[in-house]
Amino acid sequence: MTKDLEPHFPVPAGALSPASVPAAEVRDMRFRWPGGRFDLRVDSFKVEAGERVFISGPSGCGKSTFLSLVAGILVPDSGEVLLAGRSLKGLRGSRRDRLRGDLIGFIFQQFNLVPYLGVLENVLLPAKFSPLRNARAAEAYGSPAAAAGELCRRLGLDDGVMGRPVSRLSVGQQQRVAAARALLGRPPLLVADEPTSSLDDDLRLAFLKLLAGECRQAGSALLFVSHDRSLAGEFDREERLDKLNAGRVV
Amino acid sequence: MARFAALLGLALRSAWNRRLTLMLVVFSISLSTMLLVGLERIRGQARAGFLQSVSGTDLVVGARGGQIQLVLYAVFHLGGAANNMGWDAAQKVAARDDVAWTIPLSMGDSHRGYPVVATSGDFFERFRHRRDTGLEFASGGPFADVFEVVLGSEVARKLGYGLGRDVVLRHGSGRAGPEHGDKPFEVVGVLRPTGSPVDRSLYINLASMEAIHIDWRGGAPVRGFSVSAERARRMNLTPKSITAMLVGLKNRRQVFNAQRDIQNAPGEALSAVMPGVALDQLWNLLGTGEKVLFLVSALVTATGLMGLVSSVLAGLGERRRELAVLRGLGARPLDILTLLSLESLALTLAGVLLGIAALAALLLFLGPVLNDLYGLPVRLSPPTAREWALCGAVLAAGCLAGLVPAVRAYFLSLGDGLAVSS
Repeated sequence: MTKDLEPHFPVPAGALSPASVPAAEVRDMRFRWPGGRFDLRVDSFKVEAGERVFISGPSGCGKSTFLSLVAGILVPDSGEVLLAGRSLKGLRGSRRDRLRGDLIGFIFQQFNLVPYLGVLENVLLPAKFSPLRNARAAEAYGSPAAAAGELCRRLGLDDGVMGRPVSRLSVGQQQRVAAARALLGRPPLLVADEPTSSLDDDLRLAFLKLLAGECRQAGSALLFVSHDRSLAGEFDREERLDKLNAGRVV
Repeated sequence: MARFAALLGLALRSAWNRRLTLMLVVFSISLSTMLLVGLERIRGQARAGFLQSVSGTDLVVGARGGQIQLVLYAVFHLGGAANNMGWDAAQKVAARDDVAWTIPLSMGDSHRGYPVVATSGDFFERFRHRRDTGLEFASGGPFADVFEVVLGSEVARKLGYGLGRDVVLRHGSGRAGPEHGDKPFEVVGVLRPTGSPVDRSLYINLASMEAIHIDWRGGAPVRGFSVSAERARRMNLTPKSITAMLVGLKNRRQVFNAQRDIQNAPGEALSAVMPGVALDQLWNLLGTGEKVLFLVSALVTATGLMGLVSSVLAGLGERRRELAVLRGLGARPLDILTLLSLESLALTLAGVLLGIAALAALLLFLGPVLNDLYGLPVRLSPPTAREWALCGAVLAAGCLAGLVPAVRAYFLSLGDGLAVSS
C-alpha cells in the first residue's frame, strides 16, 4: 500500500505530502469577524500526515470558522496556515482555491451533492477542478472514473444507488457519496464539518468507521469537526476548540 | 481548457436540470430572434425584390423630367409621365453604337385598374428581373398581331382570365375613363409570376396602342369618325411617340458616358436614368418605417434578455449551496463567474438557434403564401451576412446580460465561502 502512495508520474515538487510533513499546520493565527462575533486565536495546531484529529466544541464556538481558515477560504488577520508544508500566507485567492482543490477533500454537514449531477459525476468533481487529483485517481485505477467506481463500491454504494438521481438518495447514502468524492485522488487532508449530524445514531458510527478506514487506506489525514464527543473514540487525538482558542467568545 | 470544458459541462447540466423554468426564457429569446431576423429577411428580400424590379437594364430613357418619376412610371407603371418622347428620338437612341437593345414602352391605358403597357416583342426576350431572371409563359405565348394581349400572372389570376378571353381596354389609368369598346383584345399569353410589377400589368403591341387610338384625339374618341378594327389593322401603325424606353448597353461600364451623351444630345431633351440608383433613392425615401420596425424588434429582444437575467438571478438563491460546494472542491470565484456566464450564453444560443429554426420552418411554409398574396419574395435561403450579424448581436447582448447574475454569483461566492449551510 505504501508503494501505492509513491507517484508513478512526475508531480510538482511537494505536491504530495511526505510522511514527515504535517497535512495541515496553524501558527499564531488570529482572526476576528468584522462584526466582532468572536476572536479566534490559535497559537499552534497541527494535523500530522495520516493522522485522525477530532475537533469538538459547543455550538457557536467557531468550529466552521476554524475549518474555513484551515482550508484557506478565510484569511487570518495574522499568523499563518500551512497545507502539506506550504504556507497560504500572501497567496492570491485563486492560488489558495487551487491548493484547496489539490490538497483537501471536503465533507459538509449536509447538501453535499450537486443536485443535477449523477452519483459518479459528483464523485468525479474534484478531478475536474484539480489536475493533480485527476492524475492521482487515474494512477491507481487506470482512470478517474474507475477510481470513483471503486471508491463508491468500497463505501457500500451499490449499482442501484449509482443510477439514481442524487436527490433521491437517503441522507446516509448522500454522505457516503460525499465521502467518496472527498477521497478521490487521495488528498493529504480530509476536512469533515459535522458530516454525521444529520444521520441516525446507528448510522453515525458506521459511517465514521467507514470514513476512518478509507482515510487510512488512502493515507489521508482526517480533520473531523463535531459537537458530539461520543465519536471521539475513533480518532487518534481529540482537540477541544474552546480550549485551543486563546481568544474570547462573545 | 479541461477546466473550461468541465465548467461548460456543469453549466449545461445545471441548465438542463432547470429546463422547465428556463424553457420559457429560451422561447422568449427565440421569439425575439425570429422577429428580429424575420423582419430583416422581409426587409432585405423586399428591398432586393424592389431594386431588382428591373434587372439587366442599364438606362431608362424618357422625356426630360424627374428621374424618380420616370422610373416610377417606366418600371412600376405608377403616376403619369409629364411628356412623351418622340419615336424618332427613341430610334436615334436605339441606333447608338454602344446600345445592345432597347425596349420601347408606351402607357396610358388600363384594364380594370391594371396598367396596360404597349411594347415590342423584344420585351419578352429581353426583360429581366431579380438577378437576371427572364420572363416565362405559364400558357400561350407573346403577341404576334394587333389586338392581342399578354397578361401578367396576377391580372390573370385575380380577374380569372384565360387564353382566348376578350379584353376591353379603358383609356387612362382610372376606372372611369372611356372604353375602347369597339376594339377588343384577345388574350394570347399569360406570364408566370415574377414578384415584380410585371405581374400586375397587361402587355400589348405598340401597333395595337396606335390602332385603338387611331380615331381618338386629345384623349377622347373623335365624334362622328370611327375606324373599325379591321380597317385600323391595315393602316400605318408606326407610333409617333412613346413614354419611355429601357436600354441595354453592349458594355455596362460605359453607362456613365452613354447617360451623359443621351442627355446632352442635340434635338429632343431626354432624361437617362440608371434604374438601380433611382430605385435605391426611392427605397431610402420609404426607409423610416423600416427603422421603426427594427427599433421595435430590438426592444422585444431586450425584453427577452431581461427575462433571461431575472430567471437566472432568481435561481441563484437556491443555488448558493451548490456554488459553495463547488468552491470547496477548488472552484475559484472566477470559475463561478464563468459557470454562470456560460449558462446565460448557452440559453441565449439555444434561443437564437431555435429562433432561426422556427423562422426557417415559417419561411418554408409561409414564404410561398406571402409571395402569392403580397408579392413579397420571402424565400428560405441561408442567412445573409446581416442576419448572421443580428444573431451575433443577440448572442453578444445575451452574454452581456448574463454577466449581471454571474457577477452577483461571483460576489456571493466570495462572501459565502463554504459557510452557506442551508
